[in-house]
Amino acid sequence: MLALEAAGVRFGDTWALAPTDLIVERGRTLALIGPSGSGKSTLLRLLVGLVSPTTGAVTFNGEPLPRSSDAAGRRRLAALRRRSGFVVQGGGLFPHLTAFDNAALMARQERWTAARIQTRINELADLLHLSHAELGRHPRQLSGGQRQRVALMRALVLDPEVLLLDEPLGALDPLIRVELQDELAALFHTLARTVVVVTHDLAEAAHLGDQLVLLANGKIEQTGALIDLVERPASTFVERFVGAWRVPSELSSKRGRAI
Amino acid sequence: MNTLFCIAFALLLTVVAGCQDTTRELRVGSKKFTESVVLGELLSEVARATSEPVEHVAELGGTRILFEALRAGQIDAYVEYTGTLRAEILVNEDVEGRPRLAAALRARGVVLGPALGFDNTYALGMDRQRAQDLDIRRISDLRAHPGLEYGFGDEFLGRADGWPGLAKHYGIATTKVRGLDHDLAYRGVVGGALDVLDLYATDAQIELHDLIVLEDDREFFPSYQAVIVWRADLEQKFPAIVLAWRELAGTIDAAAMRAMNRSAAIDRESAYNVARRFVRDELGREVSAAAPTRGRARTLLATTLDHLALVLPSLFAAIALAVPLGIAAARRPKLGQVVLAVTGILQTIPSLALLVMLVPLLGIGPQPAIAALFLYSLLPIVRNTQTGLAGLPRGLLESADALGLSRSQRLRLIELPLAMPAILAGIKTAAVINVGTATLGALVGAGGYGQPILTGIRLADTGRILEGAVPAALLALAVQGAFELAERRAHKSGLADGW
Repeated sequence: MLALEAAGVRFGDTWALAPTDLIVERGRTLALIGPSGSGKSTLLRLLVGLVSPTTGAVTFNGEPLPRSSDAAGRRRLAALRRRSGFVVQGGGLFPHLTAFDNAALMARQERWTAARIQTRINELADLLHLSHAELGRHPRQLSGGQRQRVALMRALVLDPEVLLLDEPLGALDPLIRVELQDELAALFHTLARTVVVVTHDLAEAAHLGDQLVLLANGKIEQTGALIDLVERPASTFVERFVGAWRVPSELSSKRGRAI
Repeated sequence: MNTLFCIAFALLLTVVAGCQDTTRELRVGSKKFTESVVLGELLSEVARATSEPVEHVAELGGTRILFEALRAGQIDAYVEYTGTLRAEILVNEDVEGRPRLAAALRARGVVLGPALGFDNTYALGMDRQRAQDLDIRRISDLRAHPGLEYGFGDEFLGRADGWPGLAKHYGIATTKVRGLDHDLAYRGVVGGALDVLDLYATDAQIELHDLIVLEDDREFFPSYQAVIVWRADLEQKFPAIVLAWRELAGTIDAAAMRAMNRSAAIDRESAYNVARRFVRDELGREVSAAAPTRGRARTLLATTLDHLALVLPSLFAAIALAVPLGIAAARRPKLGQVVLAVTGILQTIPSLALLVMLVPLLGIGPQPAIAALFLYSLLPIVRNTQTGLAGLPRGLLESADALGLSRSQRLRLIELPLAMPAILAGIKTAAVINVGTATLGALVGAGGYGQPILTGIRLADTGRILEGAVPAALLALAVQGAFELAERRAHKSGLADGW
């Protein structure tokens, strides 16, 4: 349902993302992985028009994404973005709004009735384990994990066709991280939506995504399941990247959940 | 953006036009020193005897403001000095002699009316007894007494038509000259520490301290004859008043003017009463029974309302224009630089100069003051709006875009609320400065707390000055406090921090 057709992004002289072909199939969970600066965040932003491709095109359900350079294009782009739930790195909650108002923001813009909004928020709060009291707080009164849950609620409120997450667990401490990884995996399963998630952690990528896309220096190195990357690395980079993660091999059996 | 600018400007003009009163009774102006105020009352009183209603717009800021107001038809007449007309209005023109002066004024639509009879020029004064002892009556007599102590004001000491020119003209050679404050010079002469001081020929202190004015026997000082000037169209509109004023020619000599100045400045009699008494007793004319249209004792409440009538419209108009300008400046950095440069330049124009420039366009009264305050309020609001918006974390803006908010929704729902503490701080700065600067509005007849301050300065009456200065300071503090309360509210609801 989402596709890059030879889409590349160049900032000045350097390609943040070299011209790339990629298809995100409906219902799949795709994990973009790679070291920082590998172009994974750029790729994610390309999918909702937060950056425009320098070359090639991005399509959403077969239609090219409108450009944001003119007013009409921006309007159509905004409409498309409401059909996709995007969570920026760190959650991007608005500090002047309560958790509830953050989550309800786009529903209000769509002129939903108060009752409908309340029902939807209750539904999502159950799904993401947030209490009524927590919803009344401002972001700075919430823990990192709670903030991330609110950000997910906000992205999900309009029931989007696709969910795009940039390092959703990046800033969390390890315990909460592991807990939320499980929750996210379960959530993706329940929602049965198309998901693209960016992470720099191979274990997390393997846990969340059924297809991994490994990037380095603005290029896709390999696409496939974790087992493909481990057993049939397409390049020495892939081998090294996977190898680095497997260093404490004697421990790997105890981390059974990771593979 | 141009549309917004036009809307805000139209708003300002509407506010300004709303203040403009359409009834045009005869208006007499006066400058912000006592002699001018007394003469303004005197012209008004004489005019009133013809049964025309007259308003005295007292204590305006200076020669240029009065003359421009006269030409623009904001006032109809005032008393000016020939030397001032030559030196400040008709600069670089050959206006020697009365006929040329009259012609030059006529070309500007102004009639040079009769001379009242006194010449308020620079003069030298001495203690009467001391001068008699030394047999000094004229300036040239000073040459015979090289041991005399001279004390002059700084201005007189520096001007070409002051002491340097005078000493050369009369050939007075002395080194015993010191510069000092005018009031101190009077005390020095009275106490005997000084012998000669500079003064204006009609200073009230001349009477008070029993000084004599030395005769300018070699005619060094330029003439500062007091003359009535009025608009040319007055001759048709109010012929009876023009006739009555013409009859004032030569009726006030220097001694009479000094006596009136003394009553008003030293004895603190109201200029209105001083002028009325002169008209009745010395000129033997009828005085009007009607009270003057402008109330003398303005209550604190009335002054406060006047002051707020300057501060509020100018502040709201400035917010209406400066916030959109700040938004534009944040969106387009190049445009932003231009906007900040322009509003910055406006800020550097001295307030008196700005008022003088605005008088020909907007007349006298609240309008030019509101316009000036409006212009001064722009910079802090524009700058804070711009920096407040430009300083928002990029991640939050991207977050708003990614959710599918339109540009205007993002601005309204996210950017403005988040930048609000900064914008409020800018408005607070503008408001506080505005409250203080509005006191200068009295210079163009706008009223407010500046009026008692001007009168207080004119009469050296500290109590009067405080009547304006204290409420102005309190109002500024109140404004500051109110904004800080609002800011704290904003912080509480999580506006200011949290990312």
